Formats: sequence, C-alpha cells, structure tokens
Amino acid sequence: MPDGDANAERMQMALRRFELPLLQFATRITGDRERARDVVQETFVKFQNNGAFQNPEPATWLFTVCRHGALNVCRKEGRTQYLDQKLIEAREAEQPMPFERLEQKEAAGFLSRIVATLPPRQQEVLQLKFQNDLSYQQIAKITKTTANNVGVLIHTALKTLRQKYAQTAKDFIPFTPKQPNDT
Amino acid sequence: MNLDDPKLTAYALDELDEIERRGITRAVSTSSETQHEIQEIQKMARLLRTEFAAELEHPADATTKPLSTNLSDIRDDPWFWTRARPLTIAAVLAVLAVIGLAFFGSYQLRQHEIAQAGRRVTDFPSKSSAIEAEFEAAAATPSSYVIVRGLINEGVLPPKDSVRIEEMINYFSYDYPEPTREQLLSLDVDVASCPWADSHRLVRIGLKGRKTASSEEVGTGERPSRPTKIAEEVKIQVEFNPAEVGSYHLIGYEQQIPDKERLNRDEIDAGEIDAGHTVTAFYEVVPAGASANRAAVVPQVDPRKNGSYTTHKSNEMLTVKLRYKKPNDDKSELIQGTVVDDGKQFASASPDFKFAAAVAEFGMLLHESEFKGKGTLGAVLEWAQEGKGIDANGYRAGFVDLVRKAQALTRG
Repeated sequence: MPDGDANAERMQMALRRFELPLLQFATRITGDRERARDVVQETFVKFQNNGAFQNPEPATWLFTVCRHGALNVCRKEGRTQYLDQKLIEAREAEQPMPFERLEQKEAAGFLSRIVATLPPRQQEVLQLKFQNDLSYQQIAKITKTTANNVGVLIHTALKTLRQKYAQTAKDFIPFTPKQPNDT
Repeated sequence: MNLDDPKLTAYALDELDEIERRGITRAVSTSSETQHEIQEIQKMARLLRTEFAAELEHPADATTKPLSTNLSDIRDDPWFWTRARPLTIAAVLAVLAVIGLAFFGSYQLRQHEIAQAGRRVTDFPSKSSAIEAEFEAAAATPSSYVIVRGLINEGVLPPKDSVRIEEMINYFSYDYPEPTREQLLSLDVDVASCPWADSHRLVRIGLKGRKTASSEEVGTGERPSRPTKIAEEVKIQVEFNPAEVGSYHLIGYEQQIPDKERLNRDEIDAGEIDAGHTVTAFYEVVPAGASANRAAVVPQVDPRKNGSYTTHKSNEMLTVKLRYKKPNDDKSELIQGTVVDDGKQFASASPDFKFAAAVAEFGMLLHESEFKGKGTLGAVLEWAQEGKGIDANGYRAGFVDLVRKAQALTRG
C-alpha cells in the first residue's frame, strides 16, 4: 500500500533523525542510558501508534513525550530532581562548583563538564537549544514553561558558562599526549 | 543597553520577533560594547553546538554521568586520545572564531596584521620575506549586514562603524565550483577591472566547502540544522608577483581587532568551513607600472623581494595557497593555484563577481572608506542588478531594494 510505505518511510526518517538526540536527552534526565533507551523506544511506539509521525514538525511532539516518559521513570524510582520546582530552585542557590576542582584543565570536553555543573533545568534547555536547534517557543512547549522563562534560563546558563570557560581557556596549555601503546 | 538582559541573548540567538529585533538593532548599532557582547554570546553558542554535536557522534562516551565519575579514568580511555584532544583544541580554536552560521549561513574572512591599512609589505614578519598576505577564513557572525539592513529599513543610514564590509560580502553565498572528489574545499579566483578605480584590477578569491550527506538531510521542516564543519585551520596565502603587481589592498577589515582576540591570533591559525558554504574576499590591485591614482593603496609590492617569483618576466599575477585540515586530522592539505590576469573587463565579469563587488562598494560607501573610489550608490545598484543571477531565495533582490532605500535616504 502506497500510504503504508510513505508512513513507514516517515517513521524511518524520524528514527534516523531523532533517535540519538532523544536518547541523549533522556539520558541526561534519567542519568541512566538503559532506562533512557526504554523511554525512547516507548516514545517511538507512541509516535507510530497515534499517527504523530504525520506531524510536519515532529520534534516538539517527540521531545515532549520523551521528557514525560523520562520524568515518569525518575518519579517511579524516587529520583525527583527534575520534578520539584522548589527543590530545583534550592539547588540552584547552593549549586556546588565541582568544576573548580578540575585540575586537568587541558582535558577535552571541559565545556561538557562545565555544562554538567549547571542546574538541571538549564542543562535541559541548553541541550534542546544547542543540540537540537529548537526555538525558544518549542522548548517552552516541551518543558511546560514560557518562552520568556526559556530565555532567562539560556541567558543565565550562557553567562555562567562564559565566566567559567574564560577562566579555564586562560590556563589552557597545549600538550602532547603519550600514546597508550608507547613503549 | 543593559548587557545582562535575556533579550540580548535572544537577539544574538535570533530568537526575537521582527518588532523586538528592530528595537534592539538600533541599540546595537550604536554601541560597540553591545556588539562585542553579542559576539561573545554567539561564540559560546558555537562552542556549545560543537560540544553537543560531539556528544551525538560518540554517544557511548557522552559525559552524562555525574562529574565525579567522569574525571576518574579519562586518561586511560583511548577515545580521549583519539577524539577528545582534537575536540578540545577545536573548541579552543573556536573561541577565536565566531558563529552565526546556523542562523545566517555565512562567513567572514579574518586577516592577520595586514588589516591595518598603511602597512608596507617590507614590514611583514613573514618567513623568507616573501611578499605574501595571509588571511584566515573564519566562521563568524555576519551581523553587520543584518544591522545595516535593519537601520536602512527604519529610515536611518547606518553609522559608519557598524558597517563591516567583509561581513556584508559574506552574508551572501556565491556559486563557486564544487570541490573535486579528492578535496573538501574548492578554490576559485577571478580577476576583472575594478569598477570604482580606473586602471586598478579587482581579484576575487572564493572558497567553497563540499556538501555532505548530512548537510542535505536536514530538511525536516524544523529550523535549519546546525552546519557540519568539514575543514578547520583554513588559511589562505596570497603571494603577489612584483613584476605584475605594484600594490594591493584587501577590501574590508578596516576595524581594529579587539586586543583580546589579537593575542592568540598568531599562535593559533583558526578558521573553519562548514559544508556547502562559501567564503569570498576581494583584493584591489594596482598593476606594476600603472599610476596608482591613490597613494592610499598599500602595501606596495617590493620588487627586491621576490618570494617564490624568481623571475620578473613571469606573467603570473599571484599565487594562492589554500591550506586546511580535516577535523581531527593532523595532516594539512594544500590547494595551490597561480593566477594570470587575462585583462577581463568588469562588464564581462560573472554575475557573482558583479554582485559581490556591488556589495563591497556599497559597504565602502556606507563606511566612508578611503578606498571607495569613484563608485556611487547608483553604480552599486546597476552592478547588483546585473549580478542578480538566479537569486532563488530572493536575498539579492532584497539587497537591490536596500540600495534603493539608501539612495532615497541620502537624497533626503
């Protein structure tokens, strides 16, 4: 059936395009890659079953459902860091800065690590914005907040990142790594 | 305006609607501090995109676990050595480069120290004293065209310092040949008479990055996907033959590079090119022996210093060497070409050549550049119309409109 073929193709395209980003996204929320895999699989099953793949802009739908699934996993397992807004705010205030403990400042991926020190809500919007190129509006829908609030979160996150990054980049010294197989 | 305003971040990330954007455009155009802030925000955005993209390329290694566990054994991880170091270096390089590509899809050429007009070639600290100019192709934020357009549409002629000619030229993309199968970049050089200065020649250097399967798969109806970086440490050397060239001038780059950026510039030759994108630069050249009708065209080419041009009889005008590295590859690739000026007139130049020259002259006129020559807005309009070409997305038609509006503003 031509319709069936077209749908299957849409499904395949969505899988190719979004599987990995969704997995990354769910992993950041659940902190567990296997749980995240389950969540993403469920997301795609729902995607197929309710015809959402016919949506010309599936990203918002997929990330919303995936986020919901990931939060459910956290809720069931008693990991509530994403759920309780008051808790989140309290944590933001007392955010420790493990980054300062970083001694290997030349180590790769240090920006990822700075990101990992940000409050969860900020990490989440950064990932949606810079890994998935979603707009403030789309991110607001997915994270159930306002576009204004997304703007504030991203603004605050970028400010912190720039400060910490500048601190580190200043100390950056190129180095020659020893190959693991060197004799 | 207040630099600590989420609206400014939203502006830098192109998240504002038309009305909000206009309001901020005006504030931005008059404050170099604000412009700098926007660039800084966009730099960080670029870094984040690179970093998050790497996470997708190597999901198994992604740092999604708590920080404490990430730090432990990283040096034993072979991935760290193969991927992470180049990525870090790329990230640090990217501090120098800038972005905006995801939003504007364009580039800026950055130049070493010859940016300052008035510098003689003999002052160059260049190895073997070759008569060479180096510039870097760096991913950048071509916000200048957007600011200029915003202001003119509002009925205001942009302040001269908000006009960056190289950014305006590179707001548009040009139809350069696709790279050959062996190369990731193509190099295309064209020479014609300079329409704003009698007896001068205009040399256009164009680069194009190869399209990749990922750059074509992106059309999902969403916002444009981030561009795929295909080459880094892109550097172009231009060496002029003193037998043919008396003096030259790279168009644009008249603004001071902030000290902060200048510091690392000589240490790290950074420049990145994304899939399918083009980079364009113009040299205005005074042929050897021709009377320079402006002493301002510098630096002069010193015939005592031949560089690789060992004979003065060669009819080559210049040599271009394009060097680049594939991301995460230590080996540098070289594309080299020599250019013979066949004496072409501007009238018979390609549409792309004419259009880019029109944008360059428009920028020089708005910037009140000492190099603007005898060009007028009327002439710019004519060249742009002749150079409109296919203009599938209507950008060039938009430019033609803009020149008309600028004309009306200068008359009024």
